[in-house]
Amino acid sequence: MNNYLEQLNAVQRATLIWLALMTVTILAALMSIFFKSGVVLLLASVVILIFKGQMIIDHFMELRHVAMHWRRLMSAYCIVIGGFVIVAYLMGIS
Amino acid sequence: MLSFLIDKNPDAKPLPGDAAIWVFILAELGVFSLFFIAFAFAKMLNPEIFAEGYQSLNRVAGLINTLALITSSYFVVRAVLAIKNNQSQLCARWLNWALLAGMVYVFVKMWEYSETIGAGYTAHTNVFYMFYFLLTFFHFAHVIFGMVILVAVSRKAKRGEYSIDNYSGVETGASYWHMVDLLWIILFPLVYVIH
Repeated sequence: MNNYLEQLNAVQRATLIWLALMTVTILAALMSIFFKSGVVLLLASVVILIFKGQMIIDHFMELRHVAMHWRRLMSAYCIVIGGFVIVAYLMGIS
Repeated sequence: MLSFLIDKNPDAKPLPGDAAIWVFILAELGVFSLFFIAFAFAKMLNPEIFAEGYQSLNRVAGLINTLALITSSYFVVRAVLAIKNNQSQLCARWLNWALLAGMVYVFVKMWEYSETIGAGYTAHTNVFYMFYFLLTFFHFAHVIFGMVILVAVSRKAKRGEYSIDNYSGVETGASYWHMVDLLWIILFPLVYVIH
């Protein structure tokens, strides 16, 4: 996907990312209505969280071409928080 | 100790904006991470209180605010692209659009608070509402601070004080605003979606 995005000009890329973020946000909201609760909703929400976070980090914050350590640090933030949310949820139902 | 922050890749671009804002962003993310983790584990320990609290939330307001902040962040990206093309006035206009989207967030959040408080729920009601008000109000304060920064950057852009050779200030403000957006991207599923 990154290769495809790199071929677009900066405005096209930003607009596409914005539309993707809006779409998955609405998807997450719809999931919270249709799924009563449970592991599927939890995992899907965390995957969407990590996806949206990565899009913002790479394309809005423009960290995709800076020192990899910064990008990894920021990406790890979303993954670690998502991980804690999953662990807390699973500990709660076990 | 901070050597892991120094890249060995000679082709790597520098961080956008002033380096100091990135230290500030990391500190802010660190503080918020404690709140996020505390919320998740408090929910684990008090599932019934959190389930009941979740049902009383205005989830439409949560959705509108997420869309407003994402859109605002997009407008800020357009402002940065404009100044990179030496279009200072266009940069100011995009920043004003970003501020307008920020105002949508502010009004919707105040509507949400007035509904919640009007229904008799406050930070003292129970542990859910304590975390709800703590997390969302702390984030709300960051949005207000971010809007103050955007106003200052927009006014400077309007006066033509930024150009293709000097736009670090625009990138610094943009980086802070994207951090505010990133934090809400985490807060939204945590508070308004997962139940």
